[in-house]
Formats: sequence, structure tokens, C-alpha cells
Amino acid sequence: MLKYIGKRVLMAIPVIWGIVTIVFILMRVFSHNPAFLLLGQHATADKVAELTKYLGLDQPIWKQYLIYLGQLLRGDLGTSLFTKQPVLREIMERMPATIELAVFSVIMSSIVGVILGIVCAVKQNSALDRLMQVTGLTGISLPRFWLGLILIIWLAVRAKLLPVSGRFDFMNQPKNITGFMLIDSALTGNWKAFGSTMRYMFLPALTIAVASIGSFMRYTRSTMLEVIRQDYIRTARAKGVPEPRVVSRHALKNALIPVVTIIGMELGGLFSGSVLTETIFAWPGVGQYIVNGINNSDYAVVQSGCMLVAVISVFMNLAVDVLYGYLDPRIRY
Amino acid sequence: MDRMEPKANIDDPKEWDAWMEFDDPPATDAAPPSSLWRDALKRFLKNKTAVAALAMLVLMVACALFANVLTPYGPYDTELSQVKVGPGSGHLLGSDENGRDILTRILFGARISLTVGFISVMISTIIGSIIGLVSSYYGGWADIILSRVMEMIAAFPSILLAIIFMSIFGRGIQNAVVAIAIVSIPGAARLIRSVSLSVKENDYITSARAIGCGSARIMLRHMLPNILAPIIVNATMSVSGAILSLASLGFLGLGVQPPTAEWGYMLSSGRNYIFSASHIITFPGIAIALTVLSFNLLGDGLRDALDPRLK
Repeated sequence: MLKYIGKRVLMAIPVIWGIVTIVFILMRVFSHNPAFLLLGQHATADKVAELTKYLGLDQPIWKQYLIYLGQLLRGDLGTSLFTKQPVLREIMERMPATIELAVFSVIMSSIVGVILGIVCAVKQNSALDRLMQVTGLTGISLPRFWLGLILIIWLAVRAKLLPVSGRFDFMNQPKNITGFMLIDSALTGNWKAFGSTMRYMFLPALTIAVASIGSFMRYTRSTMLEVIRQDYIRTARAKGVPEPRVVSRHALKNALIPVVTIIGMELGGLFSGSVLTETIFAWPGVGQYIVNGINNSDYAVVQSGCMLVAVISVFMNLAVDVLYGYLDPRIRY
Repeated sequence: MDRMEPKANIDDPKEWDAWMEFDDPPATDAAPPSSLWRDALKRFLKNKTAVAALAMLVLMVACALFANVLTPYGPYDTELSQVKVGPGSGHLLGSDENGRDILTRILFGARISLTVGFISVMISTIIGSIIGLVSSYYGGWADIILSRVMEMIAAFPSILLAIIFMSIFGRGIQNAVVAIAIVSIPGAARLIRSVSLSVKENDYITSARAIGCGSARIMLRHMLPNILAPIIVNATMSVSGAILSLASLGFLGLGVQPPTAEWGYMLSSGRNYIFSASHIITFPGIAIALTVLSFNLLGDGLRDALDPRLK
């Protein structure tokens, strides 16, 4: 097992190097000189040349590349051109918001999705099953950014049940300990802030969950159906185990193993920031940070942000594979 | 010992059949020729949901084609006295912030979404098939390098990569097609690689090689036809992904050039009016959802029809 993990980590290195290189090529070779954007339309040629030199963009491209790789190896992800803050620090400040939203919505959607998937599998090909299949697929087909807006219109603006956007209100802000607001407010016993944070989180989480519930449901249904056909299920039924117990004990345990991998993949995708959901709900996370960077042509932010996000997804996939091997002893590497 | 005399002359097949009391002629003679595709078509037609989805898509394509005949308005006709009018008799789905008819813009938007969806999926499917076939057929270094490159592209959240691409190369339909095609290549390549790996092990590939077929011929004439079913299903599902991506790019202001009637762009410009005129964003969103859902349902139906084992 350790050997396998070691091998996978080694295999991830060229992939990460490739990711860094792809981003570098896109941002430095094809992009416009950010000096123009920073100085505006009326900048003199001298000023532009000066800033270009200051940013190190007058160097030959291979030299820029080596300098960039060197910085990365030292853990320096560059400085934002606009805020003049180190990018790594800014991303780390925003990470908790993204992770909190991702974990919350995955918990929500996996619980609902798995339960619905089991119901579908048990009642396979019934009218209920078919209805839920189409409903699930509809959830997957809704554009998330549109669903977010519709939920804002109906639940926040018209019904006034929930806040429109943002992550907290200033009156009920927990003391910052971990950056995870739910954890912080629970730690300080500030239950009013906890409730308020939950209310802010609910709409974006629901927006993400509607699609995820559909995919969890479809996936659980198909793995359940596969398991139900196995011999050990027939054996369990033959020896007189009541059906609910067959489903919950014998079938579900085996069907959930592949579902765990989907949870991992979904989390991996969400850690990288659900770009559009964060934009719509003004959620101060990594996705919104990168989109702002793109709008400002802040190449340091885009370059390092995208790279970090891609690297996280490589490691999440790795973690999922390892976890899968651990959970399912039939898989041996 | 008495041997039972045959009641018929066994050399004469007709008499033999009569003696064996074959009422029905052997099945191979009269049954209609059955093939994978004919069977699949039969199964597909039995699936009402999938047929409905296909009908829906045909209707949409027709609406897109005849958009200029179906509506009295043009997609760019602004009417300042008719700004943000709610759905009603004059404008069936209302008008937007510039007094343009929303139904008209949705119909014209269908042209763009469907075209971009089809073309980008065509590109990604062809390139993905080539990459998948080559890496599974040759294996070894070719496989390792191609798979790692695909892994690199797949590591980016696809929408993010498309956003970077569009922000660098600029807005426009062609760039959008390329961006969306690029981000969907890894998925197609990975799928095609895995299905052709199993096809490659078949005896007919070995015998094709034995009679001296070249690599290209084996891949195109012997492997490709046998992996066509998953390719078609994947392509159908990918169209819905492509349409969603285009809408997302449009929503972020990175899709087609405004004021082109495109669903995502319609949503982004209507976003400022969600408090006063929510119908501006409601209907384009429904159009996106319906199209995407139809492609997904069609893909599901095709999968069940083409590979009944998966059901």
C-alpha cells in the first residue's frame, strides 16, 4: 500500500509540472503585457517599459520561466498586482470559505442523494423510480448560475426567508479563529452567529446541491442495482433475512464504496471553487478570487490561483484512489 | 434386432423436416435480419422518454432554423416604449431592458447554442478518439505521455480553463468553440482509451494483424466500429455540457460578442433587473435547462438502447 502511494505521488510530479507550464505559457506567452493595463491608456512608452522591467517581463521567456519555477519551489506564488499582497496568503485567507461551502453542500447532497438512490434501486422500474430519474437528471441539467439567481429571486427577494448574498452579517460575526465560521461560532459558543452563518450558507449550498443530489442519486442507484444482483444478496434473502435488513446491511455497505469515490471527486471539484456560484452569491472564496484576477488581468493571481486549484484536484484524486483501495479489500495494487 | 425404419428419406431435407415435425422453418431463414443497430433502434423506440427528448430536440433545431420566420421581431430590434414588459400578448415572453423581444432572442440564441454545442463536441470527439485509440493501441510510452497530458488538462476545473482561454484570446464564437472543445477532449479520450483497451484484446484484432493489416487500418476499420456505441453516448452527453459551458462563459461576459442573442449573455445582462423584471432571466434559463435536459435524456436512452447490459 505504501509503495503504491509513493508511486502515485511520484507520478503526480510530472503532471503538476505540466500544469505549471500550461498556465505559464497561457499567461506569459499569449497574454497582453499587464503593464499596459496597470498604467491605463494614456501611459507613456517610457513608463510602460519601466514597469515591464520592474515586473521582470522584459527578460527572455525561458528566463522568466526558470525564475518562476524557482519561486514556486521556494513556496513563493508571487504578489498580486492590484492588492500588492502575496497571492498565497490571499488564497489561504479565502480557502476556508470555499472549503466550508463545499463540505456543507456535499454533506447535504450526499445524504439526500444516497437515500433517494436507494429508494430508486429498491423500487427499480416503478413509476416512482422513473419519475425520480427524470427529476434527478433535470437537477443536473439546470445551469447552476441561473438556479442561483432564481433561488435568490424566490427565497431571498420575494419570500425574504434568507439573505441575498455574502457570507455573514456584521452584527453577528464570530471571532476569527480557524476561518471556518461555523466552527468558530461553535467554539466561542456564539449560537446566534452560528445560525446567521447557516442562513447565509444555505442558498449557495442548495444551488450546488440540486445538481449534486441528482448525480449522487443516479450513481447510488446504479451501484445498488449491481450489488443487489450478487449471490450474497440471494443468500441473505434465502436464509430469511428481512428485506429492509438485506438492503441496509448487506447491499448498502457494498454499494457505498464506489459512492465514497464520487463524494471525493465532488469535493475535489468544489474545493477548486465553484466559480459561478461564488460569483453570484458574492461568496468570498477562491473561485471568486480567480475570476476577479481574470477581470483585472492580475496574472500573478490567475497563474498561481489556477495552478493551486489544479494541484489540489490532482491530490484529491490521489486521495480518492488510495481511500478506495483501503475501503475495498478486493482491490490490490 | 429390429431396427426402426426411417419414415422418410433422410437425404431429402423436405421429407426429413416433415418427419422431424418441423412446423416452423428454421429461424435463420425467415426472421428479419437483425443487427446491433437495428436492435438498438427497436429498444430506443420503446423508450418513451428518450423518444420525447429526441422529438424535443428536433423541434428546437427546427425553431432555430426558422427563427426569422417564426417571429415578427428581429433579435436586435429595440423598442424603447416596450422596455421590460412582462410576458403577455404583445411579447409572448416579455421584453428585456432594451425593449427586445425575449422569445425572439431565445429562438435566435438556440442557433448559437446548438451550433457551438455540435461543433465543439465534434472536434473534441474526433481528437479524443484519435488520442484514445492511439494510446490504447500502442501502449507503452505513447500511452504514458498522452495519458499524462490528458490528466494535466483534466486537472483544471473545465470552466476555469475555458475562462482563462477566453480571457486571453478574446470573445467570439470561434474561440468559444475551441475553448469548449479543448476542455472536453480529456474526458472523451479517457473513455475511448478504456473501451478500446478491452476491444484490442479480441481475437479479430489479432487475426487482422496476422493477415497483415496496418496499424491505422486496424484502429479505424476494426477497433473504431466496435467502440462506436460508447462514443455516440458520450458525444450526446457532451453536447449538454458544451451548451452549459457556453452559457456560463456568456454569463461571465466571456462568450460571444454582445449584443449577440446568446442565452448566457441574456442571463448576464438581465441579472441587474432580477428585482424589477425577473422574467428577463427566467425564460433564457428555462431554454438552457430544456435543451440540456433533452440531450441528457437522449444520451441516457441511447446508452440503454446501445448497451442493454448497462441498464
